Amino acid sequence: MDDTGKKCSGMEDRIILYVDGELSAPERLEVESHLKSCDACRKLHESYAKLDRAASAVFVSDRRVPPVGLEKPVASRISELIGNFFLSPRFAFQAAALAAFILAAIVFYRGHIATEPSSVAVFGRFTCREFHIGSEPAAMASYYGVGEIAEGATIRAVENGTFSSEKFNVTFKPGALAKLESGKISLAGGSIDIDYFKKPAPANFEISTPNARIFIRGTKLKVSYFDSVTAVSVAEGRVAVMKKGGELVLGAGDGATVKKDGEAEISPKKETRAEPPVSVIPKAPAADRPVTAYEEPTAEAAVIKIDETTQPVAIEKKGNEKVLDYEVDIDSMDDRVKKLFFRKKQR
Amino acid sequence: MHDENSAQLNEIIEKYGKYVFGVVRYLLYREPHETHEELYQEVWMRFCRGFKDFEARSKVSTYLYSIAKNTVFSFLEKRNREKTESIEELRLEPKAAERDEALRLTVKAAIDKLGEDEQRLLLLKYTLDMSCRQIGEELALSEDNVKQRLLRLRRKMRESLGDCF
Repeated sequence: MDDTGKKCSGMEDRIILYVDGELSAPERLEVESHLKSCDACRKLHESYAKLDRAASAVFVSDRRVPPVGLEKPVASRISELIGNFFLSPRFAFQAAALAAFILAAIVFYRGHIATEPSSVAVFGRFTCREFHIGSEPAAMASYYGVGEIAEGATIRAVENGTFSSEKFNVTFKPGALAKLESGKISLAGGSIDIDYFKKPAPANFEISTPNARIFIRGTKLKVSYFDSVTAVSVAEGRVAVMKKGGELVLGAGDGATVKKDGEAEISPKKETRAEPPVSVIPKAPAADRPVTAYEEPTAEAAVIKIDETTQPVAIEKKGNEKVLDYEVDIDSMDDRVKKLFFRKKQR
Repeated sequence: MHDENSAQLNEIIEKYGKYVFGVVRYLLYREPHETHEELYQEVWMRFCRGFKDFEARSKVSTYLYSIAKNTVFSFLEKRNREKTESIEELRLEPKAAERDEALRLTVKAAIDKLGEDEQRLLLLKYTLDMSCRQIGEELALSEDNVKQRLLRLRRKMRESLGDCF
């Protein structure tokens, strides 16, 4: 950069901000076009991008952050629960229930070790004071404490419960009833939180309720189904909600409801500030179509350019085809910065 | 009130989980993942114990950072008392065999040279994927201030890395 003189003055800061994703769309385009024409700045960009990736790897593990308290042996979990119970003002009323719970938990746990079926692969674990498992809601057995769950099991949580597997965690609110499969969660009723932490998430991971289908990508979200209404709110990542004649695309912080008739709408935000509507990409009826088409947005968003200076955030191999994920900041109508994911296929 | 507390607690764990894990991982970078997990649980236990006295008297991330640091220090103290010789082994361990890992260690060395305030900016940026604006809100600084600090420290890091970059 020193040898390029005045032309590049102030470029270093802008390159760093570019790597950070802190520039507006026009500024990004400007930096990108400059990088194309200037070798020194291109090297500088490579250097900062490399620094950014390495620094990120210092702080962020490629293994998942464990759920708090879940990785402990059952015995210490129980002693913790006892501790909580003694602190609780309702202790006196619950003492008898607690004794029954401990007994049941121990019996269940020991029985569980003794009868562990080797033929059924363990899909994940479910931790809850009381829950029901069965192949269908009508025929369910009660369990207490921690249970290993086979793929395709239907679980009803009596109290707050957590399902953990290698790819995703699901938190059940009391009363939630859902079937868990590796590519799909079917929520029959109640409220669940999903954290799909395994990256990259498959493009067609689906959450279904009796009246809605939701597709996610690397996402944390909450889904509930009460009184024939599905409500979705997204904490992280991006989600597509199927609706009549199209789909509704939600980003972090967005929420939507799907009514009985399949009509979907964005829910009002918690913040008082009015937000621009999230664009709805009209599509043919979405029968078997997973959300893989990350076309360039058609809305008022700025022009997105993907070229060799843009760094992919994830690479997925599908046969002899390579799918690159790009994270691009879009200057939206107000100061809210949206991140959208784009996919590009490469032979 | 009990339930209200635990809902609030869950919210904090949800929001700052990755941050706490990042702090532990950074401070004990050469330790295996299992140690990180163990101390991660310990940090939250300490946090829960003191939770009713917490009452947002300091910023959550600041409070969690100090708990995590104390937890890591008591872990190191305890281990140093138990077996001093293993530290030599740790140092000799050829873990940096992979090139990526060697690069990370070099970058970590550059981060080590920064001040604690600067390290915490990086922690928020990378573990919680926060923008300058969000970091500003978290630490009660202006967005511009955060931006300038992040720019300055990256230039500093790149300078101290010299030939690698």
